[in-house]
Amino acid sequence: MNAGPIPDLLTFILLTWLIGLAAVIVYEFVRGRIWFRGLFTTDVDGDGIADEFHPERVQLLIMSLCGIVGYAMMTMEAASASNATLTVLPDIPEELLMILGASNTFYLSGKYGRMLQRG
Amino acid sequence: MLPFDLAMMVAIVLSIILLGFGAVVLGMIMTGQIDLSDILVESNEQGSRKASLSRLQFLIFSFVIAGLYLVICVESGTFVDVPPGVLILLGISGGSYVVSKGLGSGAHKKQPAAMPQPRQPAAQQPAQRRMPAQQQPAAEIQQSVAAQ
Repeated sequence: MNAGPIPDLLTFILLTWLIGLAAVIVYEFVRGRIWFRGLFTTDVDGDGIADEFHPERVQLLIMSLCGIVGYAMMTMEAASASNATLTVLPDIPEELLMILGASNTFYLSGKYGRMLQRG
Repeated sequence: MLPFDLAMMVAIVLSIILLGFGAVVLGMIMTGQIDLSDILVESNEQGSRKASLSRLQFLIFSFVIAGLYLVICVESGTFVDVPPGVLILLGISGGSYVVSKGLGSGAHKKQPAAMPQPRQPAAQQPAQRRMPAQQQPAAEIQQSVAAQ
């Protein structure tokens, strides 16, 4: 049984929709309509001015972006390199899982420590 | 009509309906009818708006993995297997979000408990102390009577 061009058409439409959704979200982000203040800082006394800067949040964002972009590229390369279509998502390397786990642990530890410090 | 043709027609109609929903959602986001401004916001201890990094990470990971899974499923024509590593990654992201939210709500609950307890009025304390002292002479009298 041959489904003809329908799977390719569906793939194209779905990819277009996903890219369009991502583009809209990035556009809203750049325009400032998505609230992202306080992503790396905290306003402790509520006066509207950031009081604390959190480096653990910066490292979490960098590690997360690098990890997920690397995995997406690995999947796309596997899909284009193989002659047959993929029947399973590529597995994530253990080293990447350990790095992301450590990054999240560091972020949560910093958050918990600041919570204890404030009482 | 062959069963395969019927199945193809049903698949095409369902695909058109689902893609129609997707197009409507995308259009509503672009026109502002669906507001994404608070998609990353969590209220902090002061009740003000604050973007959450764990929410952003959860959003990015879910979006990318779901997108890849969807594309590969459509290309292969069947549901593909999800390796354990991907599930662990989603678990790390989701767990970090839940723990972060729990830490944030824990900080909110601590503030009412820090209020000092009201002190008892000082007028009541001397009256309570006098009662035992007044009872002592009566107790001594009874002991002396018993000793006789």
